[in-house]
Amino acid sequence: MNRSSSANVSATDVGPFFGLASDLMCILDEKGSCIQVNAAFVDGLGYSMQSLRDRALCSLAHLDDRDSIRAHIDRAIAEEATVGFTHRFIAAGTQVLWLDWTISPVETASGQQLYGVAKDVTQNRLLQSQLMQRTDDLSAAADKYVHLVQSEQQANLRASAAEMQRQLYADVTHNMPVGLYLWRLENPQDANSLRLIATNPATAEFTGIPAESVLNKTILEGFPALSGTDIPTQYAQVVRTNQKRNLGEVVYGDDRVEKSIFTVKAFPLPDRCVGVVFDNITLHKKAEVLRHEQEAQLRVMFEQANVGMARLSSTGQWMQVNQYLCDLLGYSAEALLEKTLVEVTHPDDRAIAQMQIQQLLSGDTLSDAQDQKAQGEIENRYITAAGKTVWTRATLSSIRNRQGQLLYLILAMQDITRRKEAMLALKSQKDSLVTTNLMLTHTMQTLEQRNEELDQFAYVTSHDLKAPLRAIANLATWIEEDLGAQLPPENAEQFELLKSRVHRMEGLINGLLEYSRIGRSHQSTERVDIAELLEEVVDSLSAENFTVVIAPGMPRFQAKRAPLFQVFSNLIDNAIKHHHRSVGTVEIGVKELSLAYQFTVKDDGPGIAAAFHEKVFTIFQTLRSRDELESTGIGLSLVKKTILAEGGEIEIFSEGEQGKGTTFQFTWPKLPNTDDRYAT
Amino acid sequence: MTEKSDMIVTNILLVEDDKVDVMNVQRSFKKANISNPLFVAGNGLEALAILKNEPNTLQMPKSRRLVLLDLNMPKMGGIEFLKELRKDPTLRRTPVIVLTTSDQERDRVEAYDLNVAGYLLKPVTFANFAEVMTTLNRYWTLCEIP
Repeated sequence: MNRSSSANVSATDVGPFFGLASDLMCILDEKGSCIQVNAAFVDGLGYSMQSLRDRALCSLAHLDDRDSIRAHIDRAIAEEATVGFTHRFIAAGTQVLWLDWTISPVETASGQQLYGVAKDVTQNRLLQSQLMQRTDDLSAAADKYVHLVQSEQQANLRASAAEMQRQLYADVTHNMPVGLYLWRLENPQDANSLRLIATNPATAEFTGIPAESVLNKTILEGFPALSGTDIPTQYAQVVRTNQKRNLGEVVYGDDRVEKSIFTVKAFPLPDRCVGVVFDNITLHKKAEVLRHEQEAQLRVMFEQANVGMARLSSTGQWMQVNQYLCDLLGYSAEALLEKTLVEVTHPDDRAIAQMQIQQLLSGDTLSDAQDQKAQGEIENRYITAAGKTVWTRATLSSIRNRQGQLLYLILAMQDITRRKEAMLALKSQKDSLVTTNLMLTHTMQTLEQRNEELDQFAYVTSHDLKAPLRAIANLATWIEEDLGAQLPPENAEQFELLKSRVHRMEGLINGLLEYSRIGRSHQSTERVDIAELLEEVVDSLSAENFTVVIAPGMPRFQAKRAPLFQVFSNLIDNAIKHHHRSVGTVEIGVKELSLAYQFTVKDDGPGIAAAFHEKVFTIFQTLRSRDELESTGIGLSLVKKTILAEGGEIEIFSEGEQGKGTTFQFTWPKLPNTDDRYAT
Repeated sequence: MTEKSDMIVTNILLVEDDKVDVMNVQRSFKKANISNPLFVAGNGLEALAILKNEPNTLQMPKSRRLVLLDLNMPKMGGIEFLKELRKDPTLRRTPVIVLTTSDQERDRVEAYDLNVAGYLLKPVTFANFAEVMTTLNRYWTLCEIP
């Protein structure tokens, strides 16, 4: 303490306290630099009064605290407020002092000044920090204790969890559906020293070897068939490299194990052990092979089938098509797959195709559940890429799963264009046939009408022509009768001529009628004995002096008797009538053909010159004058028409020389012509 | 014999339009000494009038009547006449013999369907015709005609 120095302070009443105070005091200018300090200040910090003059208070502070102190002082000046702070100050002896400052600004004659008072609280601070240290230690000890207790609990929990996990692993190993062998490599240099130390039950199931018979045996003792394979070496490698290894598919079989395929994986375990897990995939493998084969077969069948085949989605989109179908429709597979079934269908058939698909889709899944598919057959047209129309017959089937859901549609398609075209051609032919038939029917009707007209004509002829003829004949007779003997012989002869011409006329009319009726009036058939018929014909003719020779073996067959009688009658009568002598022979012969009988009527008469062979069959043709031989000239034409109407033929053989005669040869069908068109 | 034929004299109605044919029948009757009363009608209509004994016609006895019928006639032909006759309840039993030139099957069948007693074809010559008439007379004198 230096009293003289303090005497320099302004002589106020309180001035002495400045020097006496035990607290550190100072007066600072507005920049915070010391103007005056007291003795306690000098003692406390150990700096000389001289060295403190004009020194900033904050420069005495601990480096870390200076900014804070400056800020406090600035605030005191700016706000004219009293500020307080506790900070570290460095004494001249580098000792650190904790000072608790209170600083106030004061307005004086020489400007604004700061009055500061500080208490040395270093001792308090030290005590406080010591106390703090003690408390921290105590709480750390408590924490440690709690931590220890917790650790113990956790350890217990972990132990029990580990136990549970161990049990779980054991169970998994025991029950897992793959085989597990645990091997220990006893001699690291020798792969064959692998010894089986554990298995799980699945091994016995997969290999058929009971665990007891292989446990504790070396690998080649337990599995002799592995000798010579690299399997033991591979296991040993796992142990040596400590890396797992996938052995893939291994085939194993010996006298206990049926040759099977196993998938094998090996993994390292501590203590020179190796774990081997395996699965028997023989059945799976066989099924896979079978499936592969079937798939290949199906693919070949699908691709090479001689029908178009395709898979379609439920919307009718092509999903898969084969070559035949592509060829059939003229699209490439890629182009076709972008289209739908309906798009390539002929416009006229689209509705049907759509309906067919709809029916399959909506098909009663309950009733189909049995076979899971339903199918329909359809015949329709498609348009090829080139715009051509092809006719096809297709079967469309729906494939459903067990739940009845539609998976897809299967289409099998055949090209039936040719058949269809043939059918269409046939149909058009049939149509034209029908037309022809219609025309024919029409013609037939016309013909019948004509026949009807002819009938009418014949009727009119028979009545209207014959009536006046008869009248003429009658009147001539009556005149002749009534005149009796008065008639001169010349007139009598004329009357005879008149009557004979009337007869001729009647004959012509009757012949004409008969001719027109041939083949038109229905005649019943009967079993005709030709020999008998010929006898009858001969009897009906006046054939004295003529010999009719009937050849033996005349048939008996079903025929129309009347026309046959007429034919023979006419031919034999002609032979006699036209004979140049009054004595002659007529021979009747027969020959059996396959479908008809061939009859011959041969005479030894004058014969007919070849030039007249055709002419004799013409109606009203006579080769001799009617006055010479009364003949209508209708006979042979009647014969010819009758034979033709029955389906036979007639020919004439004659050299036209006297005595060589004439032969008429005609056929008569064995089966009668039963055309009943005129029956009604 | 004569007494009997007197007793059962048959009245004959000839339905015929051809004058020569009427003469033919008359001459045949004469030649064969057939003395039955002969009435002549020119067509079916006239014949019906006579058979019904209508006034202003030939009065023909109502019993033992026989009709000789031609088929082709003007106004009413033979088949038509037969149909009318068979419809009439009082005349339907009258025996009719068709005497015609038509040998058409159709006419014959139609006539027999209408219950004719016979179907004769007129022969062309008179001699034959007279023969037919004689035969016919012999036959019908034996018949019991109502």
